[in-house]
Amino acid sequence: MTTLYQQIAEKFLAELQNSPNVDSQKLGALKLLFADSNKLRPDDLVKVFTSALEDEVK
Amino acid sequence: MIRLESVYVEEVRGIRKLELDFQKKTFAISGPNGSGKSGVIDSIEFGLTGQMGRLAGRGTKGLSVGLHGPHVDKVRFPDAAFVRLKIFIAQLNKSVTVTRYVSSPRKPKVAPDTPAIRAALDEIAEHPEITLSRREILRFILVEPTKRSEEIQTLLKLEEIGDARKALNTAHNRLVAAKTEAEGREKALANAFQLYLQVAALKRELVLESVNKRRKILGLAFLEEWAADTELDEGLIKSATTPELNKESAVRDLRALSDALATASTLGESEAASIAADLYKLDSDPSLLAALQARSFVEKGLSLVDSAECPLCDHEWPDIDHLKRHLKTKLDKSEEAKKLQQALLRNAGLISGKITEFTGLFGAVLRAAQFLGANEVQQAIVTWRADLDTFKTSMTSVEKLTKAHARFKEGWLQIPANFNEQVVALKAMIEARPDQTATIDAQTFLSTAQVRLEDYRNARRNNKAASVAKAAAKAAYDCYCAVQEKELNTLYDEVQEDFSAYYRALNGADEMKFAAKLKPTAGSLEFDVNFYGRGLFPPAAYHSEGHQDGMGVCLYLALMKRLLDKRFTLSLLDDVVMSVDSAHRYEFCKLLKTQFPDTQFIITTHDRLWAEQMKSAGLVTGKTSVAFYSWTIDTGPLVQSNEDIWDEIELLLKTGKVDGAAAALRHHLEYAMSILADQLGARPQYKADATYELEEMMTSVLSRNKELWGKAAESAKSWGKSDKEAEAREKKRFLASCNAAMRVEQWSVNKAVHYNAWANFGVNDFRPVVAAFKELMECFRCKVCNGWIYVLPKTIPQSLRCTCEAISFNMTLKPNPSSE
Repeated sequence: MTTLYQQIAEKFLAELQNSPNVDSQKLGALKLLFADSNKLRPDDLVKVFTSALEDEVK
Repeated sequence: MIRLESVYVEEVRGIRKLELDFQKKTFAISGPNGSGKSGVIDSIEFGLTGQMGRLAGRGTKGLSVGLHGPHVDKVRFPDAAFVRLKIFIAQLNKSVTVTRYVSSPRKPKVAPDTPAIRAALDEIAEHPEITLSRREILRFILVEPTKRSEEIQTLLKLEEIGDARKALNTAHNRLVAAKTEAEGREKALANAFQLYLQVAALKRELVLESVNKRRKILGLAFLEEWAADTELDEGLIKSATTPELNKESAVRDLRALSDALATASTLGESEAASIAADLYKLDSDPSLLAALQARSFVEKGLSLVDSAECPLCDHEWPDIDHLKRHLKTKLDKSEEAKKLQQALLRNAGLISGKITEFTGLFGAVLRAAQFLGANEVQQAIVTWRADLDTFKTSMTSVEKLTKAHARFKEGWLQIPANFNEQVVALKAMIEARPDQTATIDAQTFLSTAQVRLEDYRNARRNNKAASVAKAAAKAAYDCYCAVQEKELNTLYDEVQEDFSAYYRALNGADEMKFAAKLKPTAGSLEFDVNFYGRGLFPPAAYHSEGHQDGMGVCLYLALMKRLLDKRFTLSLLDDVVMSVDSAHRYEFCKLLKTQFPDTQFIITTHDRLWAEQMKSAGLVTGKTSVAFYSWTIDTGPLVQSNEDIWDEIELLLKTGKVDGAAAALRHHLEYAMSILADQLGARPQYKADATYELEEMMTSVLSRNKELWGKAAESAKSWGKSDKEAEAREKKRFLASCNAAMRVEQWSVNKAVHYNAWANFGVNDFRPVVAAFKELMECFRCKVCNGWIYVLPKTIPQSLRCTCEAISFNMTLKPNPSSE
């Protein structure tokens, strides 16, 4: 039985797919973080949000 | 999930040895304060989860199951302390015995032991919230919205939801700060580039015009288009030697610095003043500073928690959730400090940006000074820049800002002594340089412009990257908050409906219009309740404390229903029912029976009348309740069992313990007579201190009961029910005969005799006394349900009955038609 947190995480990641500000690479990394049983850490999130920027920004 | 069949406890908390047979049914434990009831709850909770709620959470610093779980005489022998639970697991249709020792709480012995059984037990261990004590009730009602949210999220095991939101928020805030820094740097380097080119604005045509003017001198092709990789010095043969100083641009750089110095005294003036004022507040209020320091320390600790061991002090907690709750509670205590911290760091961030912009002017001037060997100003710039960079690191925490307090009051930029004079001297040195040839000038211009363009491009790229990261973090945070709010709104809508319905059911006509509103917003939970149709208010605004307690119980039940749904099959209510006032106890019992028919409640209460009312209401029976009449450190709870009292007395007599038998008999009579006096509406002479002697209470009960049987007989006669009349008269007669026996023997259980003359009292002398009282007490009980008889209502009785109605007598006379 999924917990409410898991339900929220699932819906959050599904809705985030529609955001123009979050690309598929970041979304994939976020999915991994939310699937991890360890506590979500701000440092890890910052890494995700700043990842692969050199390729994207010219 | 599960139901409890029985518990056996040895040397745990205040219990030496105790066995209770729950029969998988709701069970009541009554007894005065300090009689060991909560020890039973602790033991069951320990048996199920390996934890004891009373030894964890706020206000329990220094307490632990390992040290304080065993009986006080067995502290050094935790192996002697254990709980054995017989549990029925419904989904497996199996009875399981779980034995858990205090010495190894995480390694219960399970029989039979299969993976499926272990999985079921692990699931139970995940739900310590099945235990509710009275001290916990008000956590849901009388707390600030932010704390209520956390308390309820803790109960519903929703902490992860809040933790994720906080982590996303922290990440977003960090990226906002990074964006501010990147923006400042881009602006500073754009200024430096623009200054160097001497153009009105950084527009492509203006830049190309300025650059092509120099390229023309050097015979280089014009740059026609601007691209992301355009090189201003393209085609220029780059020398390995240090480039010649460009006199014109050096003069311009120096002028830019001089202009900035002219207005330096007002740079970041308002932000610094705000910081100084906030730091003054901290200086003036040591407790605020302490709260802030602790906050920072605890925040750091919380971010490092990854096991049950505290990263701050190495203390081992029962589990990681306990530790996290403990640290969060500490954080909550410093809300004012948090606001101050936010204001300080916001202004510090702005100052940090201004430092970046200002020191951006140093680079070109420093290069000129190095080229010309102007050591004094060179050294001054290096030292000053290092000082400002160090000062900038103070902008990252309140502790560091506190150390730099004085600097905010006295002009934080701290221009080095004689710096203006040194700049003037440098300017003179540059101006004294011979004018460069147009060719050299053009060469140095292009190569320097390219270096500055690269710096600017990097800064712009970083700024754009920071924008993208900030936008992604914001999108994620906003999205998460929206989803969380929607889901929790749905949950709380359901909970508020259930809660309101339960509370209305509990209070009946008093609160027919009662309704509640639970409204979650980011990180907090507003809770308002209707007050007699006058609108929604916080629970503590107008409702009495008793009503607030009742709300706590109802909210708990509503939350548990939503949390566990059909798995809510067991709940331990430790003295919680006292929250329900005496006028609504039957309604409470009805609520539990009707709304939670599949839940087994283990209920403790220090009010034995409450316990009897649970029986009268059919929530428990004589077989599914027990009373503790006292407690000693050597014996643990002394059980006043309705079922076994006569067996216990007989056992004591068989071993020659007349004094013990007499004490047990007296306790039982005192206990039973007080219940009967209440239930039958007996009228002993009122005493303000309620210290009724057994004899006067018993006399009053017997007198009242004879009166009631007489009225029941009269009523039956008036209705023409001869069999009922005969039955009632027989009971009255029997009671009178018992009464006579009681009077003869009562002297023997008199207090004075107990304490003075036991040496001369034998077992055979006491046995007839016991027999007489046993016969007497049977007059007040139903042989079918074993419950005490009672009247309804007490003032003008209309019915004399027992819970199962095997005894049921009408008390009203048939109306006489001729008298109408």
